[in-house]
Amino acid sequence: MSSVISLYSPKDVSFSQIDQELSKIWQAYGEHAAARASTFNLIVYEPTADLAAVQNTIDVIASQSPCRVICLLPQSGEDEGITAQVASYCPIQKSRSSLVCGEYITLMGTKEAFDRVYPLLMELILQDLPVFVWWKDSPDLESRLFERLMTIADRLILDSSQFSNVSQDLILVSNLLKAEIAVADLNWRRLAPWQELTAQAFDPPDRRSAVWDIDGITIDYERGNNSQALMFLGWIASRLQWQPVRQSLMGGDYNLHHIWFTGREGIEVKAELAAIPVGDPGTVLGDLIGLRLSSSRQNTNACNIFCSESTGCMRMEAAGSAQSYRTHLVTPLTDQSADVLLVQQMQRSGREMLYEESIAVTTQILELPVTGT
Amino acid sequence: MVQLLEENPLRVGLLQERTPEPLILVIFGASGDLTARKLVPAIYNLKQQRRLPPQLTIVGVARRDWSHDYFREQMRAGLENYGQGVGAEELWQDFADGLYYCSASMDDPKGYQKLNDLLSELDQKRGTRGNRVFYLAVSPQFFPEAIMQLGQAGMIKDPSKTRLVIEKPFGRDLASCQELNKVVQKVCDERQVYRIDHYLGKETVQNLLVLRFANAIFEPLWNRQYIDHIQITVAESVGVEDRAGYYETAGALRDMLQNHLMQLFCLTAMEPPSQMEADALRNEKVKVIQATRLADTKDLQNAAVRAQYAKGWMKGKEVVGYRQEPGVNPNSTTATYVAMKFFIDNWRWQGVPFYLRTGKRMPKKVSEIAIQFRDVPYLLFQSAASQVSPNILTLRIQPNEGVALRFEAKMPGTELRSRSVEMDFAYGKTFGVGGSDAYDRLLIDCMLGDQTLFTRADEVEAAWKLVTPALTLWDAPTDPELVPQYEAGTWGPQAADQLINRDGRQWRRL
Repeated sequence: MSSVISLYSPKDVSFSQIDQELSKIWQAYGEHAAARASTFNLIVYEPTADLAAVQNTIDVIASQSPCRVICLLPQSGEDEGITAQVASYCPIQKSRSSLVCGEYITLMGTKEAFDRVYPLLMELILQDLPVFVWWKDSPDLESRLFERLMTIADRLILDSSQFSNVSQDLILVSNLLKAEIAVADLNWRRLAPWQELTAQAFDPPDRRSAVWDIDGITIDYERGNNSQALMFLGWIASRLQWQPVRQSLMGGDYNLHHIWFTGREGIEVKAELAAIPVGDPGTVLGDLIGLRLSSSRQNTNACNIFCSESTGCMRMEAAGSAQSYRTHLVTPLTDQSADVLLVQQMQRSGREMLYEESIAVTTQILELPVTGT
Repeated sequence: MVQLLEENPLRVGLLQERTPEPLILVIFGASGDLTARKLVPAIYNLKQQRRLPPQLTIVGVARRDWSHDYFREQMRAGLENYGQGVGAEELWQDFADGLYYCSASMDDPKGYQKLNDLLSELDQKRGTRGNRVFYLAVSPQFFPEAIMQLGQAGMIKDPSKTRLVIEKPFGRDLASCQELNKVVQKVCDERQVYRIDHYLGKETVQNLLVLRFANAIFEPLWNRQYIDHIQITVAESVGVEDRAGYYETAGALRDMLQNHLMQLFCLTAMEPPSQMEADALRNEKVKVIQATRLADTKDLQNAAVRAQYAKGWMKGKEVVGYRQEPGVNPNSTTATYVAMKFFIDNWRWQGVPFYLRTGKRMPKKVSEIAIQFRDVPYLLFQSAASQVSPNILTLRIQPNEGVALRFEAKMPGTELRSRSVEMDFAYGKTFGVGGSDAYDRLLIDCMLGDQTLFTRADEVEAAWKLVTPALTLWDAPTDPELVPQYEAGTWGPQAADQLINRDGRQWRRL
């Protein structure tokens, strides 16, 4: 990844002076030294008003491609209008001798103030360029700002690992998708290695048909957020045509959640989601740590275990599974931070059908009546 | 032939790859074969894989006075005749909604103005934001005119929004290639130019990079210390077919060796790039071509052989010789077979010969790169067949794409005797699916702005420069009787055997 230099340190300006101040930056530097460029608009809503987090995000995005970033930092307290900062950062690209730089506008104020200045905010968006909105919070249909940003976003980016009420928020996301809003969930991207390895297990032609023999699935995840586990289950169910039938919350040490499906040719499929307490969950809550695909059929290649190298496979391999299952180790991934995943999102446009189809099944699961609490 | 199984349901939709920004793909030569046979089926395939933005728009440009609807009908017929059909009617309808046609002559500025107006209108209508890819699927003689007209109309001035795709051949020798590059560079940046050599879009060609640079075991052996020589073969079983007009002016050297085989050669011989990025890769390719020379430029017959196929037999049927093919000059000296021997003057490859050969009317359609390793320093075991059996790593590009390693193994039994066996990786057997079409890959890369699999101006020029001694000699008027002949359905002329036999080596029989 290339590094970033600051062309113009953050400077406080009034809202009305933003454009004027940005022009000054570029007048101060000739085209030969630094070129002003933007390939997209990125609006970041940062509810914690954590400037360090915002800066980190800017560095990662700026290192990839120049863009106009507008950071919205909502603050509590009295509505005293919007304060603004402008800055410019330039990624250092090996292939270019001159700098190509992007612009960064940080706006701070209360939610009410943001609602009020919304029309002016829209004027800061560069026309004819895609608009990505990164909403670093649970989706909030009560918020006018959220509602308005959705209407201008070419893609709304969320991170379900940060959802406060996973079930409710995933259903909300599903409703957004039904309303044809292009939503991307960074946490969905974290499932990619698990999905790929699961698919790989059934790639060889002699194991291909065994995928239809799966009638049991156990998913272990880090306690604290079950969105990855639910989305993975939604994904595999959508691929294997499993229809959710009933669910039961068993609770206990692992907060067991059982879901029953009807699979192809009417087979019953049982899923178990287990929240495993871990010492250090890292920066992302709810990562998958183990997966077991099983079958009650004899002599099938359907039985596979996937377990994270870092957390061990013992629970998955218990009760004789180690002897009869094919075990795959999943290397711990270090590049699953939101910032890195976000950069990948900047390179995509349009709707993501696999995600939408998987979320649709996840929602069907969540909307089933719950028994056994 | 690999039997395709039911698709792995867990693979469906799993390709989480980048999608291009909304854009208009403008195809010059839209009424031609390439558009209907290759380009539109490839784009439609990408659409079926959900790799394209919904706003993607295609504008076909050609002289013929077609309507938008007639163009759509033609493209549908192309998909049905040459592709996999249209599949779901809704999908086709959605695709067809983005197909437009503009009748224009390549040399008429008014035509470009008309095209520009249509593109601006479509930007509004389809939300394509001024992003354009201009694809020149026309005869090479029209390249300079089309490029100049696009430049004069101001249609490719924005490097961040416009790209230009040029099909091979990029010139017919070093001088014409440099001339074409000058025309291109006058109107746009190199970063806007995508020179297509469809060989680079092939799965196995890309696998060569993965094999070399994603595995720790091969690279330490990939040098003069362990490798005896390398053979690159691209053999076609077909004759000149209906391409006599073009082929008479090109021949095997221009049509195949200078581009397709040279790409295989570069990827085999180059140093590891610092990163998997367009210029890093292309820099290494240029460096290796620049370090390469024909084995003997003073006496060219020691380094280059050409020949023409004479009448012979293919699959039990008698076929005519090249000079008897329709449209071919009966006194033609155009080569349908070329074999060349190269050396690379660098630390890695000094003294290791690279033998390249390509021809028409060969016994089989087969492409491969064979890396033959040196013999063991001392033979401890007796070969059962009393044969010398060096290790050979073979990368099969077609058919049966894959990689095979030949090595010695102990034969079962009480005696310690060896025989050659093969460790064989076949794409079809391992993945159970066919690879993607080369055009699919190259088109999506171009739309994404990734130039890694496209050739750069200096690379093409370096490749022309390398074969210039042979071109100069063979382009000179010659008595047709002096052009060696080989029987159709055989592996080439005797002179080609001599080229390699005099080094104590043999061509592989495939």
